[in-house]
Amino acid sequence: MSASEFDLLRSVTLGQYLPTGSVLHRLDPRVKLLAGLLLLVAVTATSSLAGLALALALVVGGFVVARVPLRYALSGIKPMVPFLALLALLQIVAIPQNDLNTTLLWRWAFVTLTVRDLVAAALLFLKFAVLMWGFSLLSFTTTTTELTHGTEHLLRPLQRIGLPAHEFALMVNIAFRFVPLLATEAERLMKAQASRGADFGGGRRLNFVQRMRKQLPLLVPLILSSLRRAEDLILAMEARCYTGGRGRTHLIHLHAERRDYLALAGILVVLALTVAAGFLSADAVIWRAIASIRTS
Amino acid sequence: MTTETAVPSTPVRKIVVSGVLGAVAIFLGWSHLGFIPWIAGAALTIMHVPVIIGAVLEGPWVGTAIGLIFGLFSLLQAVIAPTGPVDVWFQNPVISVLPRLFIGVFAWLTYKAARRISVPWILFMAGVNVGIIAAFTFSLGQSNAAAALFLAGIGLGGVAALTYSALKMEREPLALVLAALVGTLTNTVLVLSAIGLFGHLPWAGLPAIAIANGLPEAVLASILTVAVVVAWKQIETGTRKSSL
Repeated sequence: MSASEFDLLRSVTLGQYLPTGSVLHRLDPRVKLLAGLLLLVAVTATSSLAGLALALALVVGGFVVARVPLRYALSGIKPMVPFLALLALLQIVAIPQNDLNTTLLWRWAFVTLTVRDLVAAALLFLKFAVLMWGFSLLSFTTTTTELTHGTEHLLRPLQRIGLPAHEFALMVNIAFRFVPLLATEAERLMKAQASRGADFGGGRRLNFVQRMRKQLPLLVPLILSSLRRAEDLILAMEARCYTGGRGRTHLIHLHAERRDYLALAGILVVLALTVAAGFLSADAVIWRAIASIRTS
Repeated sequence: MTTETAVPSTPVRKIVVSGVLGAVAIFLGWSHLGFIPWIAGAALTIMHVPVIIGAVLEGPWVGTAIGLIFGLFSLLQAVIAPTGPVDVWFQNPVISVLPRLFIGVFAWLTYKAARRISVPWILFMAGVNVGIIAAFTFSLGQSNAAAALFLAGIGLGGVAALTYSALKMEREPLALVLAALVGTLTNTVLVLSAIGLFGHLPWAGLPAIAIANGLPEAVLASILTVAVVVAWKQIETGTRKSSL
């Protein structure tokens, strides 16, 4: 059993904040949240490689502006690569993309590799990379407090129809703050149980009773200690006379400035192009252009 | 054993407990502690257990709120870092978020009802279950007799065990077991129905998955729920402080 087996915190990389004080850090959190949401919609909706390349350029540009080292951003995606490769392989084997318009590259038994398979695999990779980097950019440049305020402001229209926007934002913020705490707690518990002779690694894969007997001494105290922390937090909040969202004023007021509107407009244009590229079959146009250059 | 919590449930309490148990659900998913490998590459999940615990401790709204966090997180995870071809289906919020909102409500209703269930009611419920199993066996038996007998055996065994323990057990742990069973099955059945609705899997294959995955998950969930809630309530009422 190695020390890295207890290292649960490292797997929780998303949600880190990198204070470099760039323009992106000073941008209104609402703009950044909206941009993240739009990115999610645009990337899910598009099926064009050119469009995704555009979105990727937007995110990489964001990293440059935010002065986040690209190597640091790349390290987050590295553990996912083998799995993504497997997924791409699975897609090629399981979902044959045979039709008359595509070129057959390779055939072996029931496995056929076509140009369209390669495009589908590239789409999978790009979509994943763009979303992963987009969301890490959001968390690198925005503190959790800013995120809470942003969410609450954005959800304010829902408050009109009686949905508890403030409570929801607070709850989500508490949840995200507690995840790293729980990771440390779980690490501590694992070490404590291991020092009493528990073995968390290995074991036969299918022996589910055995697995469960190993997990229970970890899970039960973990949930109990988090409930105990919740009690402390409730006590602290009630001692400070916190009574919920109605009529509550804020220390921080969000003001959108000109640069915020400009940034939002720019992001909107790029992402609209991403979606439009899918509908206008921009890829086919580009392929044809490349082909014509080759033949001439 | 005392069953009622001494502290009244304030809005602050509801928000904080939802947030913290939501964090437990997120952590279980993120660290993969909440997945237990099972046959054919499928994994049993206990990520929904915080939802059941929250519903039992603080009521249906807290359960729904934790269910919402759980659902949103599984949506996010499916979009950002899909861990298999199945995760692509969970990029649809109707599959990943909507079913999870009902886990807490059904678990809470079961818990409330089961806490004051009487012996005739237990026997009546056992009778209803035997009737359902008999009807199911009869309908399946016309196409596949062996499978029907096998499933009927499992089902009747389960009902017998539950009825026996229901008559023996104290009301509180019984209510917890039933709440966990109902909460888990709500998750399994609703998620699978949504998957069937979108045509990702044929309807005919779903009952088999529901039994293969849902039943062991329900057993795991009830063990964990009982262990946590009983320990928690004893701490709170101070009857057996040193048990941890």
